Amino acid sequence: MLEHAALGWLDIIVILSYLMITAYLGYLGWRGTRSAADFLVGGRSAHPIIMAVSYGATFISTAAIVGFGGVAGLFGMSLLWLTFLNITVGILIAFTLLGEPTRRLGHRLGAHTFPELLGARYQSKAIQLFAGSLIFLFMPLYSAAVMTGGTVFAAAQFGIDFEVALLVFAIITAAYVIPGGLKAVMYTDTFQGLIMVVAMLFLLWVTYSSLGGVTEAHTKLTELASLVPPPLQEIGHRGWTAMPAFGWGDKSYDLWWTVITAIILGVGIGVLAQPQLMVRFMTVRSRRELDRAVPIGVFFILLMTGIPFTVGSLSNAWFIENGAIFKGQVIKEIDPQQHHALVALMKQSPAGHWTPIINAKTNKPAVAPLLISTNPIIAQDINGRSIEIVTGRAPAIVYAKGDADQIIPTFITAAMPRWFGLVFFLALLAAAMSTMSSQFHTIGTAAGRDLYERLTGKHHTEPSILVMRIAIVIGLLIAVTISYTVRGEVIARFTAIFFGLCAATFLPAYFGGLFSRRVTRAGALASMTVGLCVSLFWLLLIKAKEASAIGLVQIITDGKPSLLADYPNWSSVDPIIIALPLALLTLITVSAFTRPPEAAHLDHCFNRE
Amino acid sequence: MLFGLADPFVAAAYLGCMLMTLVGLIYGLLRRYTASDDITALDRQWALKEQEVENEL
Repeated sequence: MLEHAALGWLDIIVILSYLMITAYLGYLGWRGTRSAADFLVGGRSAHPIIMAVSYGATFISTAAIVGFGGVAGLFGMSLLWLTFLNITVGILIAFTLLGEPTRRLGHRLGAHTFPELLGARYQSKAIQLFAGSLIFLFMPLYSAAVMTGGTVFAAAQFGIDFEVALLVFAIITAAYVIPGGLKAVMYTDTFQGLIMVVAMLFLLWVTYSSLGGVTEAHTKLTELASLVPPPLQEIGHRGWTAMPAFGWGDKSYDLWWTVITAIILGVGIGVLAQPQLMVRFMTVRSRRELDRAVPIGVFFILLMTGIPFTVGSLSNAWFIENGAIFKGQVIKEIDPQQHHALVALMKQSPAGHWTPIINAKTNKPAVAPLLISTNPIIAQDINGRSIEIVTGRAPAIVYAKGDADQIIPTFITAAMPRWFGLVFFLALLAAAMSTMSSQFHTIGTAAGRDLYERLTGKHHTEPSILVMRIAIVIGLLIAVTISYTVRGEVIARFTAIFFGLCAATFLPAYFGGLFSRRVTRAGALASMTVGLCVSLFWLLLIKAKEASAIGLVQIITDGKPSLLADYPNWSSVDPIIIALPLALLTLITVSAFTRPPEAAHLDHCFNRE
Repeated sequence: MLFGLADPFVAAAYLGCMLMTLVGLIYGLLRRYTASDDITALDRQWALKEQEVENEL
C-alpha cells in the first residue's frame, strides 16, 4: 500500500492541468453565454446533457461517494434503497412535479433564492429571514461533510497528513468559489460531471471483474454474513446483502431504524428541500427542458450513488480475497466450516514474541472477524507462553481502522491501479467543487440577499455584494474548522443532519406554497418553526449518536446518551420521522384557523390574473 | 437468488434502481417534444435580473 501513498510530480501536473481546464471553462463562462441565466436571456436552450449533468454534479458530492459509499461498506447493499429514492424522488419527482411549478412561481414573483421564493410566496419578511438564517447557520455543516470527503481520500491516496490535505483542499476551494466559481457555469459543472461518470464506470467494472462477475461477486458477499463484526450483529446487521433486522422494542433493531430513517428517508426525502437544488429549477428555460433532462439525470444519479454503494459493499468481498494478511490468536470460532473466526490481532516484536495490537479508538486489544487462510503455527507471547497464531483476511472496516469514512479511500488505494487513484481523486475534486460552489453561492446569497437586503432595505448595492463575499469566506472558514475538529464517520452524518433539517423545516411550507391556495403565512411560519425546533430538540437530546457527540444530554441525564436511552430504538430514530409529520400537521392546522392569503396575490402566484 | 442477492428486499432495491432509471429514460423520450418551450417576457425579465446579480458578484 505504501507505494501508492506518495504525491509525485506526475500527480501534481495532472491535478494542475485539471484545475487549469476548470479555470479556463470558468473564464469562458465569465466572458460569454455559459450560465443558465445567460442561456435564458439569449433565448436559447442549454443542451439537456448540460442541464442534467450540471444539476447532478451539484446534487452529488464527495459526501455521497466517500461518505455514503463508506456507510455501504459498513452496513451493506440495503443502502441501494437510497439510490432508489435519489432517482425516484431526487430526479423523477423533483423534475416532473416540482420543477415547473418552482420555475413559474419563481419567475412570477421575481425570486432568485429559495428563502426569497418562500418569503415572496407568503408575503413574509420573517419567513425569508428565517430560511436565510437557517441556510447561513447550517449549510457549512454540509460543506464540511463534502470537504472532509475529499480530504480523507487525498490523505489516503497521496500519503499525506489529514491536516495538510485539508489545507490544500480548502485553498483550492477558496480559489475556485471566491473569484470565479460562483457563477453557475454550466460547462464547468458538465466537465466535472463527465469526469465523475468515467471514474465511476471504471470503478464498477474493475470491482465486478476482480470478483468474477455480478452474480459471483454478490454470492461471495452473501457468504460473508457471519463475518459481520459482533457489535454490528448486536444491532441487527445480518450481512452485506441483507436488510437489517426489522422490529421495535429491542436493541437488535437499532440498525434498521438508523439505516431506514436517517440514511434512506432523511437524505432521500431531504433532497426535495435543498435550497441550492431548488433554485436550479428557476434557471431552466421551460418545462420541455426539464423533461429532456430527466433521462440524463436518472442515469447520472444511478451511476453516482448506485456505484459507490455497490462498490462500498463489495469491498468487503475484495478485502476477504485480496486484502493484506492479519495475524493473531483465535478467541472464538464463528463458522468452522467456512473458517470464519474472531481473532485477537497480534504482531511480532523484533525479539520474536507476539504482542496484541491495540485498537487506537478503544485502547483495548484489537479483535476482528477473519477468514482464516492457514493452519495455526505455534509461537510464543511476551510472557513466553505457547500460543497458536493464525493468519487471515478481514472485512473492509478492519482495513479502514474502524472508520467508515476511510473504506472507499482504503479500497481505491489497495484495489485499483495507481493511475486510477489519481483519476478518482479528480472525480472527487470535481464532485466537491461543483457542489461546494453551489453551497457557498447559497450561503452568500442567504447572507447578502435574504438577510442583509431584507433587514436594511437596500437592494443590489455594493455593501450587499460585500456581505455576500464576507459570508462566503466565513462559511468556508466554519466548514474548514468543522472538518478539522470533528473526525470519524462524520461525512454521511453531517449530510443526513442537514438534509433532515431542510426537509422538516422547508418541505411542508414549500409544497404548500407551490400547490395550495389555502396555506397561510402564519401556517407556513409555524410549520417551519415546529420543523426546526423539533429537529434540533431530537438532535440535541434524543438521537443518541448526535446527542452524545454534542454532550448536552449527558449533562442533563447524568451521563446517558439520550433522554430516551432506556427505551429501545427511540434513540436511533431520525428527527425527520417526528419533525416532518409534526411540521405538516402544524401547517394544516394553523392554516385552517388563520385568514387565507389575498385572492389577488394568489392569482398572481398561480397565473390567474 | 436474483443476481446472487438472497434478500428479496435488497434484490428489489437493486432491480428497482435500474427500473426507475428505465422509467426516467422512457419518460424523457416520450415527452421530448410534448411540453411548451416558449419563453415569456417574465422569464426573460427574471433571467436579466439573475444575470445582473451574477455579474456583480
